[in-house]
Amino acid sequence: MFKWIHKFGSPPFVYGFSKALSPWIGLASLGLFAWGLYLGLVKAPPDYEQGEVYRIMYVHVPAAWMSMFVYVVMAISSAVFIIWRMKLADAVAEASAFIGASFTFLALVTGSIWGRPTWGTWWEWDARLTSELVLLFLYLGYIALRSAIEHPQSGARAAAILAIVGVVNIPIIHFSVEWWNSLHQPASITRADGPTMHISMIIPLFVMLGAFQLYYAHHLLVKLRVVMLERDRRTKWVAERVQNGKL
Amino acid sequence: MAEWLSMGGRGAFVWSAYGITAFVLIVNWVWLKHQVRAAATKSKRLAKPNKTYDT
Amino acid sequence: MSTEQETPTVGIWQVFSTVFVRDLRIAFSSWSEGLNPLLFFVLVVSLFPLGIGPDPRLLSSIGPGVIWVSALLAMLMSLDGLFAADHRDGTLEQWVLSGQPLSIIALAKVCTHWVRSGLPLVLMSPLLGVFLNLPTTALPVLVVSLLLGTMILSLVGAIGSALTLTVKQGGVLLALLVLPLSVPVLIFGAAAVQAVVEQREALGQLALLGGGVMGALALAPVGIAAALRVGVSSGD
Repeated sequence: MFKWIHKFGSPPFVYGFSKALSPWIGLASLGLFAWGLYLGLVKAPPDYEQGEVYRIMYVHVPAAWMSMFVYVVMAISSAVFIIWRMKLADAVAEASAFIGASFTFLALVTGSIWGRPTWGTWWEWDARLTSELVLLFLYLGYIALRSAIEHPQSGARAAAILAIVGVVNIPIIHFSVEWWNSLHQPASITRADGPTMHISMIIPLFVMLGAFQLYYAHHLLVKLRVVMLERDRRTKWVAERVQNGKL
Repeated sequence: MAEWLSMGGRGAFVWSAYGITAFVLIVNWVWLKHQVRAAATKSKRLAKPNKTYDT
Repeated sequence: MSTEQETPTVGIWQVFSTVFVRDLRIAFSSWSEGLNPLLFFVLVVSLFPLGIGPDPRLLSSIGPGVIWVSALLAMLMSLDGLFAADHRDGTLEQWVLSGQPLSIIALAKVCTHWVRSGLPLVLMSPLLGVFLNLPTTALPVLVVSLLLGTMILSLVGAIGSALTLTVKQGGVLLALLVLPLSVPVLIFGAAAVQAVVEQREALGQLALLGGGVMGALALAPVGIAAALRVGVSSGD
């Protein structure tokens, strides 16, 4: 088991793996984006309540989903790093932080743009948007803590602890915000999504979700190469790859 | 076509949401390519000590 | 000194009380400094009527939120540098090397921090409630909610304080780390008081805060200890 982890978790192997696989994943993501945009913007029928504006959902929902997915990835790899001292896991967390914050930012901005025609305001303290805002702060805290600690190894471990503390808190934060929202606003404002949607409106959503997932996978694989090169710049495997012209 | 672009009069909202998403995803991608290239160049320079000139 | 010397067997309670008493002594020897968060709390709350206007109905409707946000900020202010002095003079390193459970030591530090910074806020809060025209029935709930809430804030905030141990000028960073994690405490704490103001039951919110104290007591010391180990081992 550990031998297996040692082999497939070693930087040279991951570097080669990433180099071989990432272009294909990137292409697949591009293909899914094209298909999903065509389905979502052209094929899907307008919503009978919201008209055309509901199409913002096809970028808003995947971005919101990815913002949480990436944070969970960061927290799990942080736990692996803390428990087994596996450096690759820390590299995954480091490579995910910024793109995760970008997804969160997108979820907030598209949610706000969607809110203007449906709610009449740019910002509504709706439970989901508020949770996304708190999540953005969690991401920014992670990035800031990591860059504030000069010693890279301490920074990595401190950031990992923060990610784990954050992920324990996310369900509590989410629950409290939902509760707070239901307390202050009677459920008069709802968006037309959920089980009432027609199947032809749901399929584009899943295609776009796949496109976002693959975009993240591609980003992660390539960013891992950057992180590993920066860490292992003076090691043998990098020198060997340079000599073989395989960098 | 014009009718499609207007999105039932809500075109500004729909297209700005899609536009900002495209912008952020593309900028992240371009920045990533730049980082990969920069990291590779630097590693190549460091791996060949006889050809380095420290500035 | 031989290296094979065994760690003297000391009970957990003794470790806790030693650190707790030591820290309390330090706190009392510089008591005026310890009053800063309290002063901040009182100042901020009394500025709100000046900014918003003296309408008693408005004040009593925003009162719970104002008092709670101010208490949160006062706690945050007191957290900055919670472990800094012990880190600077090497005490922290001794604790890490002592072989005693670091989480117990951390818990003792958090308890002193709460006695010193949290408790004064709790005791002062009824007076501020009167300032903001809260009904008398809301004052006991205000006190209980702050009592439980500041405990959670001390525990969770100490994790942030330990994480920023080696960061110079870590005040804003500490706020960025701790404030998102304090959202549930703020929501349930302020809502408990609000409920009484609106003549509803507040028991549910207080029970949730109590549960939060239990959860934080169980988990936070482990996190604080882990963060302190990282800070000490970074070797500057």
